[in-house]
Amino acid sequence: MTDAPRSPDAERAVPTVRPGTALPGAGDLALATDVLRPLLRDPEWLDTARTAVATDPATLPRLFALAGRRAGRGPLHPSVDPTGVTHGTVDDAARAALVVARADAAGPGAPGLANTLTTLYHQGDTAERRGVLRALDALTVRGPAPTAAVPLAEDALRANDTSLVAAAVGPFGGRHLDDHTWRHAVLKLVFLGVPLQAVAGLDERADAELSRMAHDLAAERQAAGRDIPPDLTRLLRTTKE
Amino acid sequence: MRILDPHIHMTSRTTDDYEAMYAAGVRAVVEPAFWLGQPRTSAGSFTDYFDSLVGWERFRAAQFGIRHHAAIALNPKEANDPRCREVLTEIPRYLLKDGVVAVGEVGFDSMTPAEDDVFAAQLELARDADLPVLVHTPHRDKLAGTRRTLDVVRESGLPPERVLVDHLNETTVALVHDAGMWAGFSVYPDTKMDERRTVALLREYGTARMIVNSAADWGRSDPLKTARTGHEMLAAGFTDDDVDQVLWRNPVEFYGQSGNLVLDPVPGFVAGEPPAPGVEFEGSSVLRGVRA
Repeated sequence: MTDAPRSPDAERAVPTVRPGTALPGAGDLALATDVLRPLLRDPEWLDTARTAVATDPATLPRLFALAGRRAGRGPLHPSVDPTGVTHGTVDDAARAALVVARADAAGPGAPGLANTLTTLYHQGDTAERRGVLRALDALTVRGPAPTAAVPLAEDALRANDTSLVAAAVGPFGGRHLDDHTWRHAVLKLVFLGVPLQAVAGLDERADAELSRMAHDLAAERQAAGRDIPPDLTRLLRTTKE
Repeated sequence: MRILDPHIHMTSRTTDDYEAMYAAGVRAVVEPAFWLGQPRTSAGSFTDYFDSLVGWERFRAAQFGIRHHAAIALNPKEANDPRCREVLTEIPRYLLKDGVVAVGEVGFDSMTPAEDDVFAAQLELARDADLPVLVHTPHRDKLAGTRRTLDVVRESGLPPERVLVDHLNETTVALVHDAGMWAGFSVYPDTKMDERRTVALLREYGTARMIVNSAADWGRSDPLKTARTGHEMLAAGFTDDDVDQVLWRNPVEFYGQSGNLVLDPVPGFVAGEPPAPGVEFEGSSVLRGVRA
């Protein structure tokens, strides 16, 4: 990570930090703050904020709310994901980095992290809720994440805001959502038109039941005279029997 | 014509409205928290509503290329219900949220002691959060209500330039203008102000510190009244720059005092094209068939 990118055009600049995925998501960049840094509107703010939340947990809710204004809100990979829905935004990564800093200060297995995340989620606006979900991704990528936070991902999957649904199927959701919920999440992304690149570990987890659901959806769309979207085709092709 | 509608209740409007607003030049809106047709009965009903103002409604607006902001407050009518007043302790955390650019709507409805207390308390919240305030003036007994409103604002010690007093007309504009506060005019199909009377007041008082909104909501109202007032200004001999000042620069200056306005174009939005991600699929989102 010595080659820090100078351009905000992240997909050329940001190297792959998680094997097996084409592009690093917000959770990945929360762990690679040297890569995230040049994408930030005010890098010093994040340094100061990470120190603050590590020292005093009471500062977290306020700094979490301010992250969009201070870190920026742009997409991490603007030319392939101009809205930041699929791979996340700069503020998603910054919020996740704040949670990682807090988790590090509290130490492994410290109680209360799931409660903190649950409060941040329920008292957060859409961007803050995404930040919590991306933080769970970051924790999952590097080790055990609090499974008591699974209901937060389930809540996000009931939303109609595409960015929330996409943030719920990252590494945390991929590992901890139950099979039924996860399959419905994948199908919901197809319905919403969110690229399936948002789904962590899709090929590894896809099973015969998801294949059946995808075939039924394809048949339904054909009967209605509608196109089969490329992601649905991909699901038909890559799903294991 | 670029327009920031500084007071509109988009929660009550349709996606057709968003499309028509974009086509008319609206690029940003501020949605103040207010009452619904049906009275609320609990603080939880408010927090769901506030969550929607900083969540779902912002998402919906962005699908149509419009930047949505909110003003948060307990409104004066429901300030009279003790079950609703409990929400006052929840409001400070909402004032921290991205895109919350003011405390509002506050003010008077029936001018009761409870309204007095809640109004003053929320002016204090605005000072603590360093936010400007959007003040509603009452429909009944308007002149007396506006006088009393200005007294409460003066007692709060808030600087006048941080206060926008709304729903003014020919009888109340001078009071607010002379007090150094921002004067707001709600242009409605048949009540409050209309385009011509608003233009007449702009001629009399000038274009500084004057703000025009549609205040469109669930009642008979028109989300294009800002644009229509702009056209009426041009027809009356005002310049394009005058229109830009009243419909864009003035509300940007007022709400910009929050440091929390977001006015850059919505990323990924292309006028006339479906927004990304792809909208060609059936689903339960508002993305279906969007055209600007």
